[in-house]
Amino acid sequence: MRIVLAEDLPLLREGLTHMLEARGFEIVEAVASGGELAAALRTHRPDLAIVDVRLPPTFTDEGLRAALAARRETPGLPVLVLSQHVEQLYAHELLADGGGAIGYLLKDRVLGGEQFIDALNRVAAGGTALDPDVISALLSSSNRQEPLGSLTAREREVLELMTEGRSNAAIAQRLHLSDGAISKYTTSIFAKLGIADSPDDNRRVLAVLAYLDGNRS
Amino acid sequence: MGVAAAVVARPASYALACGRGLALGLLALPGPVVLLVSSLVAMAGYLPAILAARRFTALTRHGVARWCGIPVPSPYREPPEPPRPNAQGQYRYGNRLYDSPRLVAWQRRLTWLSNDPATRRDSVFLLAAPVVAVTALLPSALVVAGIALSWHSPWTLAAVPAGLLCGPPGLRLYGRWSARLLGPAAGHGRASLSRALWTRVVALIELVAVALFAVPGVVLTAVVLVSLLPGAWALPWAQRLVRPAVTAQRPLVARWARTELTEPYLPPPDPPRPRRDGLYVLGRTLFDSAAPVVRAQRYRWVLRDPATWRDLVWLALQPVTGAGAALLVAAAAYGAFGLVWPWLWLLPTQWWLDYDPAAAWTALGAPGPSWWGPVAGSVMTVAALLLAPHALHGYGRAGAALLGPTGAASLAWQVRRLSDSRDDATRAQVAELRRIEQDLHDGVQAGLVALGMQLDTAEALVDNAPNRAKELLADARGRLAGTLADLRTVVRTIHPPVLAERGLADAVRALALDSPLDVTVTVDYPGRAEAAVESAVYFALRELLTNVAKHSGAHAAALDVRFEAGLLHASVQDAGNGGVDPDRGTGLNAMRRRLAVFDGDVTVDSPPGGPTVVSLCVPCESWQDR
Repeated sequence: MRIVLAEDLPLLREGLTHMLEARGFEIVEAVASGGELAAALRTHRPDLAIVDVRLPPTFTDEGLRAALAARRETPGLPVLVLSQHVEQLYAHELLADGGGAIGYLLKDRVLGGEQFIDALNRVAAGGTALDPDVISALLSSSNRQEPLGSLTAREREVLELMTEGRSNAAIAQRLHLSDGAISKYTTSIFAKLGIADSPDDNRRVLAVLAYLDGNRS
Repeated sequence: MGVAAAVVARPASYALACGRGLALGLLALPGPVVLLVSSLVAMAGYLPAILAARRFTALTRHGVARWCGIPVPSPYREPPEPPRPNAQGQYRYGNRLYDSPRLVAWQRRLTWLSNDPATRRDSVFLLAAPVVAVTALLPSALVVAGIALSWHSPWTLAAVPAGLLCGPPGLRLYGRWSARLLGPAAGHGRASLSRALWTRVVALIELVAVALFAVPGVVLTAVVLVSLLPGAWALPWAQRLVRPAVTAQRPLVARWARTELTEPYLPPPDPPRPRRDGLYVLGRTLFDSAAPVVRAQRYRWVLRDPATWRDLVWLALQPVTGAGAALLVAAAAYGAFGLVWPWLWLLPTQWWLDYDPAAAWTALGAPGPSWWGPVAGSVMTVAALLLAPHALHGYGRAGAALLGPTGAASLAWQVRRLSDSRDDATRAQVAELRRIEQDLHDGVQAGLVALGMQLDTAEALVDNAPNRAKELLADARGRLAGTLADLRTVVRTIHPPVLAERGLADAVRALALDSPLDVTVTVDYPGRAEAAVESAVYFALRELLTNVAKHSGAHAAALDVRFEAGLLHASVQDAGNGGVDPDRGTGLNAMRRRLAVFDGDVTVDSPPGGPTVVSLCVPCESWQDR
């Protein structure tokens, strides 16, 4: 898989490059600023862009804005945004175009080994990978809404993992349950929330996110 | 001819009109007395006196409606509701809480009565009724006098039909006038003349107050002069009497001068600090206790304050200004009631009363024919009425010049305020750094040390017990994640990343998203402001939202941030329990001090039962950066 990496701190840039190359990914270019990132995306057309939110020259949300601009230019370009902190606000902006192939994770998750690699693959394949911190904040701020309150603890757990972007098989593995049990839970969750279920994992996640987002206010 | 025929045909109705006019006129005569007594009693604090006066005017209202056929609806506003206690059983009026409802009820009734324009109109009616009632009284006076004097000269009987004829129109005239004053106020245009008259009458009444100020003026001047006697050292003590008195007068003077007056006095001296050996030093003398130093400091403080001497000049001026005011009031009163009044009553009463309407004029030893009296009286009254507001304004201007702060005093206060807010800022900054140090020390540093020890152990175990070492390494990774999360929390309390990346507008939106409440955000704030201001406002808003979630009982809040005319406004509104007292909690006071560093302010509006609105306002510059 061909990856463009944008990270301004040399230590982290080198670390990520080594880690990914060790696992068989190809880093076609590792850049340090928003301007370089836009150019690199245009030249290489990578399978995935890994972007830090805060980049020079402004050291504000340069990376995020560059990623959003690149996706407007190339719809469906897979982008994984990394940050030292996660905000619902940014997740909302990244998901706004509804195209999928979006990841938004804390930098800490890089330490997660297989789970991080799994998230990379998911995003590159057009799925989503949202940080558990974003999901729990999203769920807790729409907590008072009636349908969510009626979920059982297990259903809620499944919903959280599903919203992060995981497939049924991955959820089953994580919770040590059978695939059939997970299907049963998801059917029940979708019935309770009144959303149409979809066989496509990615579309399903986007539907749930849209539901949670719309339900908040 | 037709009218005369009507009188002959229906004399009873004409006689009735005369009688009714007599009744209404007699009712009008005690008006000024009722007004005076009820006002004095009400000023003493007994408000039902005003209601009694209202019952008295209600008699006229009733009579006019019945006899003149002019319905006069009651013009009064609804009485206030009885005060209701808040959750703590206290009662609120303005920004104060009271334990007993009685004082609150009294203040509410006072506002109700004094704000009601009908109270003012009633007063005008009571004051003017005896004069206007001449139209209602004259017909019956003519009839009575005509009959009574007929034994003297039969010709006077001619006054009887004349009086009867005047009866209905006289009654109607008085009825219309009363209805206009006693009914609800009509549109603005018509009342302008009566309003102008009223403001001048009020100005005259206020001049009475100015005349009365002469008394405390003389007394307090004497007190200050005595306190200045050599050896008395009593100036600070005298100022304790003078300053509250002058301070009480300052708002009146400011109103009359149509300006604003702030306290002119220099800030009081800081309490003395003992030296290392516990002694207090003053000049080259050492004292065991602080008391003599405090006394000397206070003496020097009042002695060197120019406001002390300006107050003294003002007090000494009071007899002079008071005499002027008294002269003006006396001229108006003597002109109206001494010179004009008797002439008005001459016409209806001369038949049976024998008095000289010019007595007051000739008593002055004035030359000229006697009818000059009422003319001079009218001129005097009108001139006094015209002059009164100007006299009052002049008095106010003189007071404002003497009682306002000098430039030096304003500057001294400004320095005091700035140094206070600088101290607050420094203290807050030190406390903040201390908190961050503590958080890093207990969280991140401790976490990293533990991590290092785990890695050490894992290294030692890796050859002999590789499984145990693996477990330790997995555990270390978990600990690392926990430490990173700790560090993120600390960073958020120092400066939230989203504020650094996006500025206040988006930071506020992110705040709303993270809040457990349903928060509606309105932002009209396109650019960025100074980072320090944005940060202070952000943390204030975050604290306010937390307060709403914790204490108000509300599930929703509205956040509003806007930039207008060099001011950054932000407010948090909730429909919760209300009754927030900004002076009781430490949170709001601390917030106020933090914003005071930027010359900002916090205002709280929270009536019991809600809604609560807390508004922040900080002057700053904004610019567009994108």
